[in-house]
Amino acid sequence: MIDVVDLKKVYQMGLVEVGALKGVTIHIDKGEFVGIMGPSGSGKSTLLHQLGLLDTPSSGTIRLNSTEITRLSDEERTWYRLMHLGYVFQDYALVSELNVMENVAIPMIAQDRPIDECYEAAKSVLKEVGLLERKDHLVYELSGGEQQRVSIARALVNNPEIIFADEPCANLDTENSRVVLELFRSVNKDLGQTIVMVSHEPWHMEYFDRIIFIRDGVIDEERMRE
Amino acid sequence: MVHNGGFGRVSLYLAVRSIRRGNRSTLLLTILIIALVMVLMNFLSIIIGGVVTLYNDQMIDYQYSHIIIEPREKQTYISNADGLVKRLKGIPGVYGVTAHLSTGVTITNPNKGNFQSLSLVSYNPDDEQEVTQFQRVIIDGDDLSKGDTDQILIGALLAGKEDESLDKLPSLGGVKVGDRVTVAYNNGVVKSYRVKGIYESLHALIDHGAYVTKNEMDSVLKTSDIATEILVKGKSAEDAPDLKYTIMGFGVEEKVKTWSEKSQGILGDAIESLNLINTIMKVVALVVASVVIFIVTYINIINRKKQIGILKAIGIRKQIIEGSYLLQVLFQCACGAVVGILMLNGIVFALTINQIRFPMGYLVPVIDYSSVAFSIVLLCIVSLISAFIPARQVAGEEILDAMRG
Repeated sequence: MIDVVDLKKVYQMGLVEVGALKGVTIHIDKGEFVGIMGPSGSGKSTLLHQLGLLDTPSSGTIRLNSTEITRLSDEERTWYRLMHLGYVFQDYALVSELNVMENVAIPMIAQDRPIDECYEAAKSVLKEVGLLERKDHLVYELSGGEQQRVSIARALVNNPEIIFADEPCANLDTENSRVVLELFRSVNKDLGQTIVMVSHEPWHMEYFDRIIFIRDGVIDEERMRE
Repeated sequence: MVHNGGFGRVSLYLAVRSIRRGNRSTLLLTILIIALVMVLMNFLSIIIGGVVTLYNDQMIDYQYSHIIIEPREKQTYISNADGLVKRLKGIPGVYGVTAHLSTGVTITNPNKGNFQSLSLVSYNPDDEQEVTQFQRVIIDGDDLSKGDTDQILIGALLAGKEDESLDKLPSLGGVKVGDRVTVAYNNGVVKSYRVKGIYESLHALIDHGAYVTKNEMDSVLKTSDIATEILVKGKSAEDAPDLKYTIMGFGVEEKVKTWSEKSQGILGDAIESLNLINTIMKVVALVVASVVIFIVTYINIINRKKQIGILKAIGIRKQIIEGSYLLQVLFQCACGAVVGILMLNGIVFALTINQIRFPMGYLVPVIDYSSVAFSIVLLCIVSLISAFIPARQVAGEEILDAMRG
């Protein structure tokens, strides 16, 4: 499903080149719930950004299903993100001018699908994450945990092939983190949804099928859940 | 692979919600700025419009009426004037006709010795009342009557003030009703007249004139049935061109001109100068508007940089994001235009209630809606450009940079 070969990412910091990824090669199967872990600055978020088409690698190839995404144009990458991928960010990344239902529906609306159909789909996903009764609220009226659940609902609404989650529990307390992780696990198990999640919390490992440890921009270790 | 549909719909969807739930203060401030710029762009226009209207009204009411008929080429007088007046009165759409006979004279105030050389105009008071408005602006004494022979009507500027330093134009030095003035005609006749009335139209050219009855001038000049001009009053100033061609169609061979054709040269240059100043002011206002709208939009967009990054991250095309900002600016322009028009009408209302007295009279401002429409279009174009630049700049940023805010 995801094939990454010799992926490198170099940042230009003035005159100095900093290698964030130094030749990463990984394979992720459809339906896996993969955790990418490592210390701060190890390159785990950078790797997720390359996989999720939010950034472009300096070299190497990424194949999502049969599409080599490193060869896509900017417009094609935008369209690919909309049609095939879902995102959950650390700071929820919700649009403050849209209410809960509109935030969830916006990826479908952007596909030019009928508004009613988008809202129905949004309500259905919001029901799954337990926030249907908050659909008309603005996002700032929700708690952090609720906002993250809205973010997950938005990632799910398009039935994406892969969900990328960048430290989705970093701003949540343990209780809310568990709610979010349980949600991810149920989506993974019940719907067979492929999820790639970055985390630095050791206790999150129990939720992943496989953990990829990264350190200094290279794969340090891969471990299956015990 | 790339889908291009839904561009306008999604932009509109985002724009509507941004307007409804975005920063109200910024929205109101932008609308207010656009409205004020619109007022600034049109304020001088409405004053100039008022001046032009005032000037035109004065020309029509006291000098030319709607149509002025002048002697044929190379002729000094209109011959068979009485017959022509009679014919003109019978033309449909003609509401009044008056014949003027004028001649050069020197008027002297015997009490002070002040004298002025000018063109003395004569008319038939009964006909004149149907065409001009002199009878309405008599500020002292009375209008001329048909049988008056030794009476003269003079303008306030010609009459002057006792203290001549207060006079705007050279005068007779403070002539009053009942005083006698001496008029020396070109043919050598010198005659004393009693000042019957003093009028004040507030138009300098008109108020420095003098009038006697046509019978009186005919008797002095030994003329009859001639005129130097014939004024014709129609239904309205706007209908003057049609009336002109109607009159010409009735076989009038004298020169037939409308009031606007006749008065073009006199104030035309001044109006053109004012219009040039007006255009410069509009350009300055547009530059100010574009800079202000650019700054407001830029700050607004910079504040929403993270939101733009989020939208791009979830797969919304940058053209849709740019489109949403352009639609928001169009909405702001539309609101600004409405508020601006209300403000302009408010100003016109206030200035109509509390009229400004200009040297030539009380000015009633006039809104030129074609000019207002043009300024709205210009403002929209400038605003769209001012909004497009920062929107494109931010929407074109890398997703992760934008998401960091």
